[in-house]
Amino acid sequence: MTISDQDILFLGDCIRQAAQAEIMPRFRNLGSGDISEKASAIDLVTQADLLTEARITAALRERFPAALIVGEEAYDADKSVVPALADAELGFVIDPVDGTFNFAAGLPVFGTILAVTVRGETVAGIIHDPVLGDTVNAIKGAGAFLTRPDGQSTKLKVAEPTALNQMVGGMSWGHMDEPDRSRVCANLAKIRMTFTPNCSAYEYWMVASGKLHFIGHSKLMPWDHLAGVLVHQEAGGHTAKFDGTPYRPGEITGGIISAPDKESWQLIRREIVGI
Amino acid sequence: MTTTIDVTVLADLLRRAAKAEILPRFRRLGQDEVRAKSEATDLVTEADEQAERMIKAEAATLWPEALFLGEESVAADPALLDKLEHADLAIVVDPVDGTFNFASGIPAFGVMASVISGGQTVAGIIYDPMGDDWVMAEKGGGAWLRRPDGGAERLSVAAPVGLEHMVGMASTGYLPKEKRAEVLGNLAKVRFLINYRCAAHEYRTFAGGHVHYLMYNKLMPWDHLAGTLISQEAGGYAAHFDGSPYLPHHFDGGLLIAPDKASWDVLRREVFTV
Repeated sequence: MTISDQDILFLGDCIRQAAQAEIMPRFRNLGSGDISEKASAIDLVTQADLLTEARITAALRERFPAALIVGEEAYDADKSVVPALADAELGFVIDPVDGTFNFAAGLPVFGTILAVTVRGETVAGIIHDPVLGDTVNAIKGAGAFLTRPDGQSTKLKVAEPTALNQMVGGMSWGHMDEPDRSRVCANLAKIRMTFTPNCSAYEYWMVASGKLHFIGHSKLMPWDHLAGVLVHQEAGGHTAKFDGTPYRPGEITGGIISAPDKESWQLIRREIVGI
Repeated sequence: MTTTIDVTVLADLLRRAAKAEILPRFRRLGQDEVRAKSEATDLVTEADEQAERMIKAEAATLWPEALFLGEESVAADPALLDKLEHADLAIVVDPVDGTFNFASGIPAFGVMASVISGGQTVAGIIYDPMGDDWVMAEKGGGAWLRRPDGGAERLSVAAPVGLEHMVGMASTGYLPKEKRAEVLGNLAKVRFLINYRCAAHEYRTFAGGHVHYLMYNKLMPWDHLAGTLISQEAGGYAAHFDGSPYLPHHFDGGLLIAPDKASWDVLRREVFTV
């Protein structure tokens, strides 16, 4: 199974159209009643999630009828779809609205993510920003690119390595348990500035374009990370699980760090993760 | 004091300045990485300076008695800050809050203004250029989300929850070095920490009831006066670390904001042990 350039164009159009049709009309479009506002925000998030995933899934099914299609909804219905990514001949992993907290809060920092896997390897990743209209694309072996709505395309490159106290980054510890949790939190005092937008789509775009030096996560749901990790690697970065092994489709534990190079990666594991 | 300021006029001025001077410079970076970096800095500076210049000029015409304080004006004349405490009427402006995001092409930045009268914040406005709406408050009148089409919704802070369920924002970068690691370590007690690097959006998120705490240690008035009033008017509790009220001429002493006094006390005791 290979993915052609035409397939990639199709996939990019597919998520852009779904985001335009199902996400944008619900962003900040809350009811005018005082009392109903919070409930309706949550409803709108849920609807945007469900309908975008359904729309993308339907389009993928038509073009790739044999593919394994994984999204949060599909996973809720059948947990075995995630481990099945390890062996699937062709898999698609969808995060319809990544950064739902921001979406609900009205902050335009969220994205739609799609990863393509072939026999347990991520071969393509697409991260789309529905508000600004940008799309980040990576195809394995061919680099990572940011394409603006006007068609202008830029090759992405990770930041130059720097000293720990000069780094800007984030390590999400929200899903860690003690004693790791307190240790990692306190260790973040060693860097220059933290940035935690609570949105994988933005974090991977930023770390792949040198706007952040590193990011790290303990919980590895595939829709949050597969596409972004490929984008980061294709932008020249080094990503691996906390134990140093590669992160692969189907895995959900072990924690990962994305850093400009292997040496920085080791520094962050030692000084921030503290193992 | 004879003059009052119509906050809807001031709010509209912030919006016009954003449309004229800020948005046209957002993401106007070249492809070349090196060029982009210096260009980004220049564009931020230009957006800041031009927006403040426009707001200041119009404010001087509309409200000639008011003292005008902006980040750029104070950079040029630091003595302006000392006048805030005793000014009958003052307008404090942050033309581009979240400049690091603005320079990086991240759509989390804002334009803020507050009105000070007799040493108290009497109005606060946060405009979001990307979303084209305001969160704003006048003292005693509640906090409101307002849209250019005239739509308005009253804002209220989140319902109080236990410490382990709290989500919020804390700007730990300006804490004393020896306290920074301690406070960060304590933060493991809450559910998680978000950091937008933009006070405008952090206050907006708090006043909308999406998070449970905000903490700042560097208190420049253009960063915090508007947001603190809006948070209070949305029902939140705000105070310095020592429990005293935060006033426009206070530049240090820390600021902790929570949905209520009980949450504030827990956060102060368990997390912000400054």
